[in-house]
Amino acid sequence: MSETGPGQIWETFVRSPEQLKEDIEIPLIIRDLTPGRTKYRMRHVVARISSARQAIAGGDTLWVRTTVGVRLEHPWAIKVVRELPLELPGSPYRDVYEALKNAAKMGF
Amino acid sequence: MEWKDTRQFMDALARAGDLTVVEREVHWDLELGAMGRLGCEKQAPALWLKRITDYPDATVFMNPLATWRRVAIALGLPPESSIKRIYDEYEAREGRLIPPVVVADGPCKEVVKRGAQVDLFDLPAPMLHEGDGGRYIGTWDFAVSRDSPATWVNWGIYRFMVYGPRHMTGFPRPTSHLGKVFLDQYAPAGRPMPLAVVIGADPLCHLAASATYRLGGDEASLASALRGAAVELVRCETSDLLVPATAEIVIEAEVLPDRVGLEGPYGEYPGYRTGEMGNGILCRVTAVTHRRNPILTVDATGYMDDSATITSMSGALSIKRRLERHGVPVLDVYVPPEGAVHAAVVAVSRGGKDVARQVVEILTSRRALLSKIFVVDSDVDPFDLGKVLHAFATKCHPGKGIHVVHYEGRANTLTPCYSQEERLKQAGATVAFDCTWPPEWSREWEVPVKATFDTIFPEDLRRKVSLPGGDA
Repeated sequence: MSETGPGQIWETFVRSPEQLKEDIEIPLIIRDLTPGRTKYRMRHVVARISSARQAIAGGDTLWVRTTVGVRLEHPWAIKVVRELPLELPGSPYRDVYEALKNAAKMGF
Repeated sequence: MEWKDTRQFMDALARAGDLTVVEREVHWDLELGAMGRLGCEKQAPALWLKRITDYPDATVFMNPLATWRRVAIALGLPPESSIKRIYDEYEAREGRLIPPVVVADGPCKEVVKRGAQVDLFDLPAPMLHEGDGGRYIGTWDFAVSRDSPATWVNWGIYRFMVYGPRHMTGFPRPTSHLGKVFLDQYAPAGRPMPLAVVIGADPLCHLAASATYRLGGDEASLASALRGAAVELVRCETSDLLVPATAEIVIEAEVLPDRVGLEGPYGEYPGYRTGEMGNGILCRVTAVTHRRNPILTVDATGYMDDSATITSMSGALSIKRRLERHGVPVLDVYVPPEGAVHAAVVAVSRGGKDVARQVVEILTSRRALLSKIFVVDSDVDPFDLGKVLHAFATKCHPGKGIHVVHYEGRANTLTPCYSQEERLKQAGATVAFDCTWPPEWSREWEVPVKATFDTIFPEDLRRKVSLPGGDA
């Protein structure tokens, strides 16, 4: 049986497992895995995610990769709640995840 | 050798048997990267992929200078030239700088897209390795930037990843010339830095851009020196930066002083994907210009990629000059491709612990890209790694011959053995292995006599001796 659902397929990179907080809205950087010329287009979003595929009705599939690019074994479910700007306010060469958190807090 | 463009160079490679043309369709999503990677690891000819999935109007040229044969051809030398011969030729030419010339137009302007017309997904940027952070459009590219106020233009090879139709992220290290100028002069003032990413200029322009060149040095003049004729430069559409007129593709952009995006991770030249991620720069693209049917040039980044030859060579010569300036009795420096620009062999006319210590301190004082340095005596050919290993194994004292310098804020964050915490602090260390005899040892009484054919027999005997079968 396929591990991915009928919806769209996304992928995210996280620094640690602690970033994957379930059942609350969290900011994420995701990329679109739809085949074609624009595959891997990036998005900044606030989303709800769950490791239980059925926990998010109508959710899309989310694959998770680590800092060294290794893909975790099982996909998660994701529901995008809102969009964050592609140009995140922040300081160059500083941690982008801090900028992402701040953007979500600022209510973009 | 006066290359007009990368296409002429590809013709020369084909004539020498150093270019494989692939007519079947190849996918930009991993397949292309896998082919290029295999090519690097097998030291195979460069690749020209003529049918790319989803991109009927573009082709891809991979690994332009990833072998010494191709570097020799680029410099107009016989393909079988020795590494030492190639080093010597580069060193001779780099001292005869020739200013570039500015022209009104050029092939890189055959197609011009500005503002909303720009879509980076119109170019076949490859996903090179499974698990990379994105599609890297800038691998065999160089970035043109300038300081503020405009007194100096810098060319440097840095990676750039497609983020959206009009956005790229990049990782010119903060200690690189581009990073330093941006952080010191543009970011504090809140001003975007104009940038042009040049893809597929003639090979000697890329060679010059890869050079470990002094701050304030003009790589366009160096490129002209290497080719023996002035490089023709043309003005960008949306800034006054100048780029090689015959480049295949030019991406004009601004580095944003107060905005960020995810960059990396990426399978890099040390041969690993280290987890260096999310600490780069974000660029807003203002224009893309290219030749008709552009050729995207790609370095299949990783072990034995293009940096293994060109960055190693220019790095070695830069190290040699730096050591000379500080009075080190250096004879030659070799940065072996197998060491992924992390190891260098420094041959000196007079060794000892003080010299070894001086070498490692000089080479870590500003930014520390190397982590292992082998200091050898003049009787060891630094280009012969077997001889270097012999010297290391026999002459380096395991207790007294190892000199380590620790530092923070200037380490190479791509060095695989560093922890994530060290990467964040740019902390690391470099070790010099002193593979020389202590200068205070008496030649007559203390220095061991090397027991090789060339050193332990009288010359008149050596001239007479040959092996049965004729091998003298």
